[in-house]
Amino acid sequence: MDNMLRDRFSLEEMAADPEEAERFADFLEEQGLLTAPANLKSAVLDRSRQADILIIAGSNRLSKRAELIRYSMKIGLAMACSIAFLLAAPDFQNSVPHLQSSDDTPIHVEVSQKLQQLTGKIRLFSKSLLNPEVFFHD
Amino acid sequence: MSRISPDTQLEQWIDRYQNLIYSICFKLTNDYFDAQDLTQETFLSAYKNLAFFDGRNERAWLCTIASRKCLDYLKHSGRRQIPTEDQFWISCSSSGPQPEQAAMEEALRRELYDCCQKLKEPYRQVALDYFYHEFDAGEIAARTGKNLKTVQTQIYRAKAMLRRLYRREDLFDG
Repeated sequence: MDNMLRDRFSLEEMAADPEEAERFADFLEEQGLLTAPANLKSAVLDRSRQADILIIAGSNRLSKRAELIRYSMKIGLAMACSIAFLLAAPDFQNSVPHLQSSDDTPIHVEVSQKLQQLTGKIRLFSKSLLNPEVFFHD
Repeated sequence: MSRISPDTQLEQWIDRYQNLIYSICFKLTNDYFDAQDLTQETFLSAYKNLAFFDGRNERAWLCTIASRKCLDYLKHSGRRQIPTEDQFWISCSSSGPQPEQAAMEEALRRELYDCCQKLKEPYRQVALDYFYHEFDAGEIAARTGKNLKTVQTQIYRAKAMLRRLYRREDLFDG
């Protein structure tokens, strides 16, 4: 008993934390594992083919897929709204007063001008998409 | 990256981890049959919830499921004395795990054999064939000439009797 070590594992922690559970598994492997009964595998596989298990497994897979589809639809909807907003937005370039450029133009004004130019170009592009004749022959 | 089917995944996990999961369950419950049942439940739970597995560390995930199953079992069984702090002190020796593990396996098998011998026929022979010699039900039916359903029913009843024997012995061991 002099050389006996005491290791403390908390079952509550093992049930909540995969790292703790794995630490316990490492400890058992160091000690040497027991051999599972030979019929264990066939018992598990037989049970896994029963209807109640298949139904639960199948519905969990479906709910995961449904979650993915729902997420994809949200992203798609957000993109569609962004494009719709760009198309429907008023002509900012014409409504904002033209700022006189000077060497002392403040940075925020320059940025604002650049953004207006960019949005203007995006609007033109989106308009041309709706009018393919102009797009192809212009 | 090719995705394997859930059935194939389950089979691979059993091949890789059944000894580990069984060892965890036995270490936590100290009951041969309960450890088997909990090991089965662990793999079935993993199979049912495979869709929610993030794919990162299957070993840790399976061990966590096994721990949860054991914790639930110990809380609800009412047979076992649960430490008041919900913690287990597990003593280990600092040297030579292999010979001790072999001795432990031998002791397990001896205990199983002795319990099987305490049953009356026809359950004794069926229990020895199935649990000790690890023949499957089909093999037992073929060698004894019995109907497969009969053998399966006898195995089921023998298991229930053996459980009671194990638990009675546990009470005496304290």
